Amino acid sequence: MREEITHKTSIALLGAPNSGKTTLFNSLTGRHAQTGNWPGVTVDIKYASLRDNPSFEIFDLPGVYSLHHSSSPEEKTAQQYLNSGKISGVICMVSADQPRVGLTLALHVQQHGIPVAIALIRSRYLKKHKGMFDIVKLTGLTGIPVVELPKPSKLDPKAIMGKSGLLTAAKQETAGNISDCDIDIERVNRLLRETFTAPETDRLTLALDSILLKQVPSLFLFVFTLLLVMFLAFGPPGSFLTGLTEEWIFKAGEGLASWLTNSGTSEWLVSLLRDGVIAGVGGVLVFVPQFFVLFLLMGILEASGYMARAAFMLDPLMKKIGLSGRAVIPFILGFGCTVPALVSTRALPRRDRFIVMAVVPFASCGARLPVYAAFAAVFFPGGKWFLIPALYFGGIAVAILVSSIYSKIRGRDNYPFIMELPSYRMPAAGELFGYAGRQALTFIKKAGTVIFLASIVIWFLMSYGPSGAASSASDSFLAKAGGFIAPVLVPLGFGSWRAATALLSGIVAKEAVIGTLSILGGGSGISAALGSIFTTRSALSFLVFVLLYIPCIAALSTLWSELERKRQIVYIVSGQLLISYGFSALVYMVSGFFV
Amino acid sequence: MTEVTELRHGRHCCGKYRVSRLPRNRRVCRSMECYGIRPGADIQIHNVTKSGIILYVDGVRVALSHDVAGELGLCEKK
Repeated sequence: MREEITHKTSIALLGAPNSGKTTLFNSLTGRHAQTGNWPGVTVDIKYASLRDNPSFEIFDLPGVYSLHHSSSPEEKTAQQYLNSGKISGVICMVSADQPRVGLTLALHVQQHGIPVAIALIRSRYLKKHKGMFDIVKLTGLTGIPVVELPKPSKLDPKAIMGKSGLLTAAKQETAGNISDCDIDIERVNRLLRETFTAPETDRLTLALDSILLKQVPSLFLFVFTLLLVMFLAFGPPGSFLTGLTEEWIFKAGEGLASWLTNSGTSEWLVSLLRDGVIAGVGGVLVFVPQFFVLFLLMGILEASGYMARAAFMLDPLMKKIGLSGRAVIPFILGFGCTVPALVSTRALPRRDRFIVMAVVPFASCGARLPVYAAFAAVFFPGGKWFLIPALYFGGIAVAILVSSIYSKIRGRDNYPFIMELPSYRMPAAGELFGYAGRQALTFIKKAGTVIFLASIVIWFLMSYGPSGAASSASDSFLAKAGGFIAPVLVPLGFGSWRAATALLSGIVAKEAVIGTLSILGGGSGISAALGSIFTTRSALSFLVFVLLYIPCIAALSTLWSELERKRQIVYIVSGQLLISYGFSALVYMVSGFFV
Repeated sequence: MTEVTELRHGRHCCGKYRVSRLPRNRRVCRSMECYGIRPGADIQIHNVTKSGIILYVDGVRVALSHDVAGELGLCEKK
């Protein structure tokens, strides 16, 4: 949310981590900020105008447990904002099954003099588990309006804001620091005694945790979960959908090209569309279904509450490589996209953060999937079940190795593992499909913009050379540029200008590697293109290089902005290049004995 | 209440406790306070696993690794 902060009336959403602030924020503003079922999803302030009433601005503050302390960056951010005097009102998230933290925060804000309303979540859960929360009595005793929120799909911004009374609340003058306000804990206890009956223990969560929190079974389950995600995304279900899309896109492309030729369109334009745009963009778009399935499954893992368990269970193992279990979360997110994974490292201690930022790109992001899938289909048709998971686990192994080395260099400093374990919940289908759909749309947008432009540029550079229109691709500008880098790649087995150019385009966007190779193959389809550029050995080495070399430009710019010391990016990038080169050469050498 | 000086590795057991003292390490101490684990808070150790302990504090379920849990000063509640 990179809007300019204006002088609109500001309403902040406050609450404990994982209390549903971002879901409410999305509903009130119509935005699509990331949500999840683990603490620390929001590590920064997000803001946007209230839907249907742009004179109000909604601020999504990071989750806090208390306003007395300022030990974490999230607490400092929230306190600074509440002390700024810009706030006209606060909506405080209170969980009906565990109201103490939220209610204490609401009373704290009220005592500081800021108008406050309570947004009550999980009231259906409370009723289902035979608990009770008398919100009418609570409003009578505290003077704080309580709005009971329905499930996310039925949230009505107008009704919520109307019931909260904050749209008409007069801005109060506040003085001093909010952390100096004393909260009467006895009052909170009294209020809870008079209005709240605790629910029965959530048996499902306890039953699942009795398995998921035991180290050996949970470790097997974790590996099984990752394998299942990969099987569904890259195995028969995902491949079937990709095959259908590929057939449709290339038939449509051929049809368009022949129609244009018959209608007398100039040859260069037909070539641009068929060999440039359709080969480049189409070569990437065919993977949209697999991308969608991958994000659908990632969405289930994120929203169900499993992530916090995975982090806790893996903590002892992560400590062996000098990291906290919390570092697992950015790494798992990295399987989707490196950019949010890098941002989520803000929730980590400073020392862990640098190491995790350095190794997160080794978690193979979704954009590399088209590259793996295309190569596997051509060179390892029978072994793609093994190859793609092997690449993913290879990335994990390299990340573990590099983390251990970094930890040894920087000294071991085991950070304590403390994390809230949210109750399990079944993510709503609409929420999941919405999440996967938005990710797929981002992928399509990228194909329509960055990869579209890259395809045109690559087509131009491939079709023209220093002496005008190139008679063959080897006389083109692209061949000359790729030719500079190609000799360095000879020990890796793919020292051709085509492979070098594809790797360069992969820095723009990883999906562009396949688009570029498809164009360089002469628009005869990606399978034919790969077959003409690589051997089985060099393909394997190329895949390892793609897995480990530097991430795309979006991830690099995020890395730049997230690093405290900007020069560290040089170490990270050069380290990644060296590692990718070393492993790729090793794989090329070793594969010579088998292939 | 029975005074339990310190719960060290392998000595955690399920039950209700009152936090009598936080660890000396300031950083660890702050992290605990974030989750409502502060002197005087009532906690319930619900489960003990190889990875750490699961406890309830203010109705919130929190997981702690053994190293950090071992430094908590707890009084056992009857």
